[in-house]
Amino acid sequence: MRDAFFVMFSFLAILGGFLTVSRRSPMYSALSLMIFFGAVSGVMMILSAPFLALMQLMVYAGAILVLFLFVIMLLALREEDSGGERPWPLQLLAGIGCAVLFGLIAAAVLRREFVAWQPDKPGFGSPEEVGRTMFADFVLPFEVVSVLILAATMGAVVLAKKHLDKPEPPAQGGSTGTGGGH
Amino acid sequence: MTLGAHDLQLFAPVLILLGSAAVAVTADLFAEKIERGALPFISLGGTVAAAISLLSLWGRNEEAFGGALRIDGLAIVMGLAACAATALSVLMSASYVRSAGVDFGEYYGLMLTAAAGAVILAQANDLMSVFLGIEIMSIAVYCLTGITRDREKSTEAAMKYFIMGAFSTGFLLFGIALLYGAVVTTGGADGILQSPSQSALLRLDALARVPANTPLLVAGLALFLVGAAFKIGAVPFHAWTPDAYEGAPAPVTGFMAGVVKAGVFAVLLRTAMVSFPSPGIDVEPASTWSGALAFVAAATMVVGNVCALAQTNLKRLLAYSSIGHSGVILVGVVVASESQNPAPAAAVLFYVLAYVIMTAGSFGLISLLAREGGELENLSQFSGLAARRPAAAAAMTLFMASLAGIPPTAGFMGKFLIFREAINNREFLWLAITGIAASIVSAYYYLKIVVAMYMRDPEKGEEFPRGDDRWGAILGLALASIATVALGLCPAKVIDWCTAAIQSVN
Repeated sequence: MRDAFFVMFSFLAILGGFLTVSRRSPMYSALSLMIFFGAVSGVMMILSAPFLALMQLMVYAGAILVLFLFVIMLLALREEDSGGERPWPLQLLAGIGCAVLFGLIAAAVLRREFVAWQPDKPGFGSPEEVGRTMFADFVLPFEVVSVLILAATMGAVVLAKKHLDKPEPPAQGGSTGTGGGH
Repeated sequence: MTLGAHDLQLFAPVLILLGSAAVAVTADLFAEKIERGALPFISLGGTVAAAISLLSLWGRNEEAFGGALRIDGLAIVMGLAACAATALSVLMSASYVRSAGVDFGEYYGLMLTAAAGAVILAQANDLMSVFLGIEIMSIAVYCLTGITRDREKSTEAAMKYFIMGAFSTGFLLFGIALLYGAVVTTGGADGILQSPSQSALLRLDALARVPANTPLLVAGLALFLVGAAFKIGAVPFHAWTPDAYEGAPAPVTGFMAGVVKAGVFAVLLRTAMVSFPSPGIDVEPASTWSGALAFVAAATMVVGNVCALAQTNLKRLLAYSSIGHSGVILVGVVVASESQNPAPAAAVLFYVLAYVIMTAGSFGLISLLAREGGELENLSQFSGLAARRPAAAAAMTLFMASLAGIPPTAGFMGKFLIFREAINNREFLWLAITGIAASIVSAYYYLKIVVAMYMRDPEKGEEFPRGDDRWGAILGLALASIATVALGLCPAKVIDWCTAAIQSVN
């Protein structure tokens, strides 16, 4: 039963991933990504990580994908805008790179390096346990991520909103005073 | 795991940098009351304070946050290199950003945040901290690259750098996931899984226990190296470097060349020494690692220096030269991973210090000569600089000589140390020969700049802007010049210090 679900979800994930990169229209790509996100969330559920599965659905399928769709709609991207074919040597190189990577991972699977793993703690994967791990074992990364997000926010604001106030010639319209953009 | 004042004390340098970033950004809100001119002082003060707090941790050799960070000599020297790059860049920036109209608090805030990321990288002892450090540093640098929004080149450079950087981060993260998988699935027998903390599985030294040539380890390592090689601009992941270096404002270019290299090379060196120590029981993973790195290093030195020959834009030329220097430092990392002797790793530290100073100096000079309409970029625009601005031309000559590796400069000493170690290690003699040949080639294009400044007449109508009021850049250049000569003339103290730093890692 578990195996059947695993096969189904992983097949859907591969299908979604393939469609995401092969569709020419950005909108279809984004929608295919949703299949992928949903399927990965299913795999996480099988791996007894319900909290992660839920987060995956809420954050990626819910929030991030909607953001993608909005951006695509706002930019009114069409198929023609997605850029032409890459020159064949590049395509060949990319193909070789992917094949080598696939070979390495396939070798790892075929040599059965992935041992069957059982959750060792009761309640593994529950919100409670995830929280405990996050605030005990991973407290530094957890806090440092906030710096990362702060840096990204600061950069986004300064790139998008700040008026450049050059000393000369005097700024035209919009900008008031030296503070600009606040 | 319990946290205490101990952990925070070891984390103080990062906290000081982040704190001064916060102060700089907040002070900008009151810019009408406080002069914006105070911002560089705040940033400089924060950087110097962080450097002092790093120095005060010398000799501690302790782990913080349950092993996520390790404060030892390597962390301190590389952290200091990052602080030096930041301090010099702040000095070079002050007048440049004012004339470009981007002297926001956020400019300095992002710079200090990137420096904090580099200091985290220098201390990173597990893969999670490595990832977060790289991301904090990179995101801040992407934004800084595009900060002069009204220049199309700057925006284009930021966009390219960001997209390629995000892509390479994907590789890095996938590599980390596979490395984690390799530790979990094969390390169970070693009893790592019984350790009290989940984060122990991500530690760099856990990789040393993974059996040789495990496909997962090889795949993970390959992807990890792709991510790291991108950040330092190693061939074949260097394509973004010339565009980003050319488009970014000159002081930012000097900053990112130095800080990013200090951070990422700290990680590579630590990985070489801790995760794949060759004299251990398992020799195989070590040779996989150093074999791959050796080829990357050779290709990087050759491609970087040969491509630089054809450049007519000074910033692009220096971008290719920075690729070449990455190759030389990589040679040091390769030799360090194959040697029990601390000398090669100490040579890497010395080279990074020297590189940070001479790069900040050469880009600082471009910042000093920048004017309202833009920067002096084309080589031909530097013609006759010596006649009009002899001091600037002399400083530039010094930095070029140092980058080329001509005695008595820091760059010469750095190259000498690294290539001497490569020659002593018979296995990498070919790397040393490649490197020396590439350095000889590089002398040509560095001298081309000197020839233009001293032996050509200025182009018609070319005015070199006077920079006498740019005290910050002048002070920065003076400091960088003195350090370049000092490191070249009497390097013994610094080399001893780097050696002691390396000895504290094991």
